[in-house]
Amino acid sequence: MATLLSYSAMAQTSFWTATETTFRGSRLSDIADTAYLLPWDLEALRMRETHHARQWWTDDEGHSVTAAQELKGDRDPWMGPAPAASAQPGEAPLRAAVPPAGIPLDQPLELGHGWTLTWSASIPQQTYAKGDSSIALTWAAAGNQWSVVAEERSFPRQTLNGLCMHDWSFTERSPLVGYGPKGAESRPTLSVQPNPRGRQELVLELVGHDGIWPSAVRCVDAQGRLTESQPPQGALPLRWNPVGLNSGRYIIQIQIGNQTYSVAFIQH
Amino acid sequence: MPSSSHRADSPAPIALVVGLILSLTLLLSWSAAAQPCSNPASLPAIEAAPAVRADFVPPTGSLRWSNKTATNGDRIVHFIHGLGGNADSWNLVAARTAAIGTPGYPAREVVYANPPTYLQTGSTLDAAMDIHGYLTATGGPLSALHAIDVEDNFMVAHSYGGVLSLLLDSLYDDPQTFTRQFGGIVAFGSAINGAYLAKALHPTGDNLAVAFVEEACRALSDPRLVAPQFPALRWIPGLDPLLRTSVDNACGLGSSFVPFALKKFNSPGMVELFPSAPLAQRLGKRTPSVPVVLAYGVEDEPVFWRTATSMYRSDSVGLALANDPFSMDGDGDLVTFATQQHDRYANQKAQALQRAANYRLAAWALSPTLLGSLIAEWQAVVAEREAAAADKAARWYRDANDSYKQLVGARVMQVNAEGYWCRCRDEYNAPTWYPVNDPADCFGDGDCLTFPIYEYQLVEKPSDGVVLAESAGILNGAVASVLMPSTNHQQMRNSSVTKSVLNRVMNGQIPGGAFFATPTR
Repeated sequence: MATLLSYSAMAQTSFWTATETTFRGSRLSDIADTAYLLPWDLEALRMRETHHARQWWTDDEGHSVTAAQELKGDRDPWMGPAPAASAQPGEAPLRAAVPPAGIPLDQPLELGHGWTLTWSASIPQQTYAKGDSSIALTWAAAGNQWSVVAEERSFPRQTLNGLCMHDWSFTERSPLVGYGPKGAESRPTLSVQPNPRGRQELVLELVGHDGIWPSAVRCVDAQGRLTESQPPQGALPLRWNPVGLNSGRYIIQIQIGNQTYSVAFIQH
Repeated sequence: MPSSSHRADSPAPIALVVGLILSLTLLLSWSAAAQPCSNPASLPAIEAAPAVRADFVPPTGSLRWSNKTATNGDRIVHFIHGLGGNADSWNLVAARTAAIGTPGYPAREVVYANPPTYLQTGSTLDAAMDIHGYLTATGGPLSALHAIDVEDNFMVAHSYGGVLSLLLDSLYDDPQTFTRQFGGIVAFGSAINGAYLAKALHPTGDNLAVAFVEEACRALSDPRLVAPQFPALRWIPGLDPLLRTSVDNACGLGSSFVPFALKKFNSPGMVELFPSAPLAQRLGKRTPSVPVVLAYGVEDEPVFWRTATSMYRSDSVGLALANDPFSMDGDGDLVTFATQQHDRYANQKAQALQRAANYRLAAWALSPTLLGSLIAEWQAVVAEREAAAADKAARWYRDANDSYKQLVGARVMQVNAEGYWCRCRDEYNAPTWYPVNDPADCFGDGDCLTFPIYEYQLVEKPSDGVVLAESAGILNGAVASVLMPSTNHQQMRNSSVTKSVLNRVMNGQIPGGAFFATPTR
């Protein structure tokens, strides 16, 4: 039976989490242009990949906050580790209906300074555009609600020597996992198999919610002493093989944002 | 005054210049307009394989000079500065070598000679001849006064000074014209096989000094950024007027942000340091006629920010250097600054994106009133633009190091074709991308398109932040190539590693370098 260890987590009226994978880099329309690229533009063409675990929850005062923890960054080694994430106002991007009621579909709506917003119904998508600049958010069903699953941004720019480039980024978000104030979603539970366990690999799963990337996985003994831990290894479900365990009862903990999920297993 | 009356009487040149400027402006405007950013970018960003580190292995030293020793008694060590330097550059080290010493660096039996300043606005031959003039006019008589054979004297030269010393050595092979003035050379960070940076910066090369600054200004001057801070990178106080004007025009920042202010970087002599130039080709392959010890620096990452820190610090000789001329070890100030600025802008980007998300949710709540909803959506776009500006600034602080290493020749990026991306998309699902070897293999649900895949091959080479190790550390017939670890081009004149190298050289501890052995006082 999975339990939530954190008291504050238990007290929260909502908690949602998702893993964000972002690809970014500048893009050219013609690869032949690379012959004329300046050093910094050549560097900008490198595709960078980052992973973040984002959480949304209600704080002690009932405010909606969000924080993103870096799982895999694109910092150069000389920059050291990323600063710790800090919470800021923000609620989970969950909506009961997409597109919102009353919005005209498939026609650009003027926003200002030449920017338009278009809601597309066939693929639930909202697109902001001005010339070649675009910001497109794709929505998808998440349980009985809708959430943003992809964000693509493209801003054109001209290099110093006149070439046309686009600063491009594409963010994919795993389906949101968590629970809300109305109880629409049940609290996630962590499962571990096999249990009891011999020497086999453990398969860790947040039931029904693949794709979440825990920031840490730990194994503690019955007295709460840490026996083994590992840094982020990828998205759930995860396979792990804690070694050197004596027979007894142990607890697997996975950390997702400020939440700790745990489940006990027997080592025999 | 004659000059002013001349100007007043001759308005034609002024009109010509104004006309030329207007023409250039029009041409630039036309050029910009001729290639508008109107075509959507179709190629995915390029993937990069892990960088290959091409470590430098110094050649085995020559024992050819093992039996050459100096005659007993005093000698003169001529300290020769590098590009942009002057007599003060080596003065403290020269003084401590001849007298007083400093902890861990005993004074030697050396007659003090004030280091020279040489001509830097001409060719390398002009500069070498100027040094030769000093050696004959000052070094010669001083040697005679102390009964020193001039060929017992040796040169300790930094950077360009080492190139000039080797050039002089080649000139001295002609005894009809020249009388040899020294018997050995210790060269610190000298681009004897050419300097990519010289080609990258020089107006007749790639002319990228101004472009580097302009790019930084474009990234860091966006009005959407919160209180932009520019790195303090004034490499040399006497900024070249041409560069200053260009930077002022581009950024309007005056001298507060001017990397590459390598004084005289555009002097004619720099052209001769292009790796492909005849001088660099010849000097690097010539066997010197005297014992030569090469010292080459290998700086740690980030090479650019560390080198810039040392360049900035050496604007003035501070109290620390006056107390100990080998105290220029720390070079992390701008590393910390660049990391902080990157994180600051990355945080601004994250906050702006979250603000955009919040505005979108507000727009949802306001959707029954279309106008209110659209105002909130517009605020989301404004926040998105701020995030894009902050992202660009953060990327500049991260990527400046890699861009700079390309200029130095320490990072080579080659683009290779690696098959095709197949992109399929129907009206219901998000697009899928997968790689194929042949465009004919690209098919699936909906419309499919192929795009060539390109991958970067990255090769990184060790450098001191200005000169590659392979340029400063290879010379046929050299006594030794001595590594100076964690040392950048500017530090190698005044760091604790410099002290160690000079001690080893003058202790006679370099195999084959007995000539340089100089007793302590």
